[in-house]
Amino acid sequence: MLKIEKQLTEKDLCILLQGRLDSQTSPQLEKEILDSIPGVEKLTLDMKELEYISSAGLRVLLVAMKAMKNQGEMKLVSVGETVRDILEVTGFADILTIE
Amino acid sequence: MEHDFRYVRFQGRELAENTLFPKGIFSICHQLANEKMDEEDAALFFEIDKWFSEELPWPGPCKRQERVVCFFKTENTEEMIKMVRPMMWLLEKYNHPYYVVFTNTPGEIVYEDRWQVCCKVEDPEIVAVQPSWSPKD
Repeated sequence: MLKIEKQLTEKDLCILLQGRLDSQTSPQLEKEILDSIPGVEKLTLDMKELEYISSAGLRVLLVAMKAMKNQGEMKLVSVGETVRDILEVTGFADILTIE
Repeated sequence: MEHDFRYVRFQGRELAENTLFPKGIFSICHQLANEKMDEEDAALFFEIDKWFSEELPWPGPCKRQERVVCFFKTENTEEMIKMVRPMMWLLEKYNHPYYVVFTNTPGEIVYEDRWQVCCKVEDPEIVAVQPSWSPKD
């Protein structure tokens, strides 16, 4: 299950993720991101309460990164240990901006 | 050490039929994605492949399946090589061996752009095993 909370301040969008980002929940996040980013210059994904990410989730992060490349920037914040380990092992820690 | 080399190639153990040269990582991942990977891993690879199709030109000799192999230029491809890393992770996940080859002598260059070169593949040369160097042997 994945809970998504969005906070838009002018051109800054912060999305808080809670739960698991896997093949079941990734389509939901992908749609939320792509529907919400028109006009956004800074996209922040707060991963503090994200417990797990699968290849499907990584794919959505890549889609989001590509979409934001033409209009601004994207970063991940408050990445927990489990998700950070997955990002490191898969190489995504070097591809994404993580603070 | 890798920064001493101008070119790098990511390849498998199996030889491509047209070149008799080890298959490149993109070709291997395509095959694995179509034959062996589970759906979400395959989808991840295809998204990575789409990124490359938008960022990296597809050389004419490769499109025409000529007897060439491609090498990244190490100087200009830091971002691209980072994007190859998840492909290597996928190969490891599916226990598919791969090698990272650094070189300054990729061969006769028949195509070049800012990020890569394509080189002609020569017929393989088979040589006898060298006698042992050890005086004891």
